[in-house]
Amino acid sequence: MRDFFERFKILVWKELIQFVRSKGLLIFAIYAFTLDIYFAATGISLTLKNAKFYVQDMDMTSVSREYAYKFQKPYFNFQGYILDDKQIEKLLIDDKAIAVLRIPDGFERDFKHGEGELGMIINGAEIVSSYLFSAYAAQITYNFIMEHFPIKGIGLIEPERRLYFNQNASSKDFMGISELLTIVTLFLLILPSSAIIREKERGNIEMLVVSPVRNYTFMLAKVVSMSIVILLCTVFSILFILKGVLGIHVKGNLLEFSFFTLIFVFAASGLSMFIAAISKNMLQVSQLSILVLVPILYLSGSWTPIEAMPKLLQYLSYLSPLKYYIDGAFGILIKGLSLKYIWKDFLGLLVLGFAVFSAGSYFLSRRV
Amino acid sequence: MNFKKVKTIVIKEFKEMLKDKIGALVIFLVPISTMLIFGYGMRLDVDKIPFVIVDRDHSTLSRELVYKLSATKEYFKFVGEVPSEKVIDRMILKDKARFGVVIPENFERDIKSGKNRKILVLIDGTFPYRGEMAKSYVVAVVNQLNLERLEKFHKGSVPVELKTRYWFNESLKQEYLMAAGTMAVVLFMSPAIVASLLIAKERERGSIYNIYTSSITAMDYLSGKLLYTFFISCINFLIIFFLALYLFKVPFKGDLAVFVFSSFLFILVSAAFGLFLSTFLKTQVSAFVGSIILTIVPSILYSGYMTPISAMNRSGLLMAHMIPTFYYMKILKGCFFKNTGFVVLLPYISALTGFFLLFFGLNVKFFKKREK
Repeated sequence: MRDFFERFKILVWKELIQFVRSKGLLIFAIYAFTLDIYFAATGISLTLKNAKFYVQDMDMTSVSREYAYKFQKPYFNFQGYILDDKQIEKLLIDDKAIAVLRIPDGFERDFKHGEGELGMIINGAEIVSSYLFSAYAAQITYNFIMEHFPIKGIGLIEPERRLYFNQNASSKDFMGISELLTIVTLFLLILPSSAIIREKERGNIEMLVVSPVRNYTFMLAKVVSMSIVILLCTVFSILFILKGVLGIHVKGNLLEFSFFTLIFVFAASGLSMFIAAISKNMLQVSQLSILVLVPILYLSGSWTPIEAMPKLLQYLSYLSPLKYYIDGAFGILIKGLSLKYIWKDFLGLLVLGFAVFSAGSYFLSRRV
Repeated sequence: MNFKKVKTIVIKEFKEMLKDKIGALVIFLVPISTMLIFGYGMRLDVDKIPFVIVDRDHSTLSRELVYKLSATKEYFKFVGEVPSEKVIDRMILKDKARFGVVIPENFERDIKSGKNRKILVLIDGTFPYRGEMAKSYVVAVVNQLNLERLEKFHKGSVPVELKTRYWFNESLKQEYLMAAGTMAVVLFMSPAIVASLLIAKERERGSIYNIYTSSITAMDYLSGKLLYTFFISCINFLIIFFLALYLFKVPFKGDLAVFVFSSFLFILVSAAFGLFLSTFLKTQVSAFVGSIILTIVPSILYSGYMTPISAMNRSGLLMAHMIPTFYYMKILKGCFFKNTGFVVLLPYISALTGFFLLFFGLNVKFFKKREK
């Protein structure tokens, strides 16, 4: 047994050295855990900002101008007035604007009679901005009505919103953390399996057969060392990139998060071993990793909410380790929950991880 | 350039592909599965958001409001009534509800007597976009209710009506956008990965020494690898294009020739990019990790696939312009949805050409026929 640990330690150390020496890989790992997350958190936002629009004002009265003036920065970005219908098409086709607001002739008159009508043409080929544009425009129109019509004597219902966990609804926290989780999954799937395949391809496995090291020990050493690398990168990234550079307010206990990540590492590297077991070369590893990664990412619910998926996929999502990980990780990092609260995700991940890891290592030991 | 030598390399790669049956199968399987999963599954519109209510009033008006909210079944799913805000907090923490509405006491009495009353909407902000959408739906329902009461009060119609029309994607079908957009992501990812492994593989196995000692020039060698990747990716392109047209039934309004031409060009860009990576990276692992990180993540985030380009800040915009998928996405959306003219697309096509020349040129320049 002591021999085993001694060998194991040496093998893990050897893998770590090899990882650091492989400059290309190291550079990409560093990039992925730092700059990539930084760019995703700062560059991307799923909100309406700076949405370019034109106005076709055929009325040109004070009321029509006042209405168009309501579309203000930072949400909207007024580009100018246009005159003729053909221009609308051209502007939208050339992506010069997201929407065109049309105010018909005689709008002020109709408006005062209480029968005004406005047109809005929105570029439906842009997913997020088209939805948000119409939602904001409807709100502006409502406010406009309320400002101009006698509403004395009628009480209004005013919704007052309060956002939990993310008061200013910034995408930064969400994008930063979800990008980190994606990167973690990506590396966990790829690194262990490719470390194993490399030996297979180079023929080093033959040498192992005649050495006192058992195959399984060797494989396990690879999985463990790659997991250590990824875990270290994750903690580093949270401390220095998310907290440090981006200033994201990470609420929960970092130690608990690391522990939770460790369980996830276990599950995901099981999948990676599974991939290594069935592939013969890097090409297969690469394609199979994507084949596994895409459904896992999708079923995790980070892009499409699980409650909006078809029923069958909702059940299938219980098989995606990333689902438990994302739910739990957001629980810890954003909501500030402790492990006690997310015991369900924890248990799910543990059970799934155990199953996947045993299956993966079983297949691998049989195939090597 | 010696065409015979280039041809030999292409044929050699094909032979090698046919020997590795599983490898050959998965090369074609990955684009199809990605297309199916993202095309069918990816939805950004928020629907069936679970919500709860605290009704302290229990009046006709409060019930009407609750009814209005739960009647929009597409968007909301009414979970139930709960006794207090604390329960809402707990349900949001446990992911049982995404938002809760609190209707205060004497709500109807105050409103009927002409006072404005606030209702509290508590929203889970963990996923900002979902929170934002939930909020705007609730506000829309409440506004509608106010307007209806206003109409009744004034015995007239709504003073202003905003009629919204969506162009290019009239029914605002997300599966169209997703299926078409996924094509761009797949076409950037798949050739780059295949190509990036081609040279790194030979380097790892040592078979590249045969190339070093032969009379093949770097140009011939790289062109052969490029053409091989190009050919198999064109097959992939045809498969996913057919999937988009006939399975997802995405309408195609533009010029077919322009689209196919730009798609082929885009494949070349991606393949050249993959080769470019493997010229610098020594191992297959790093070539693969590099190509996946530099293709998938930026294509999803910066190309206008799901995230709006208009909302990007300066660093995001700069990033977007450095990514070939950004230009291809413009061409793709133009051809699928808008029938954009060739002249408008020309800058994007030239940008893609520029990327290709840049990547391939750097390749030829830096590919050394000897070890350092």
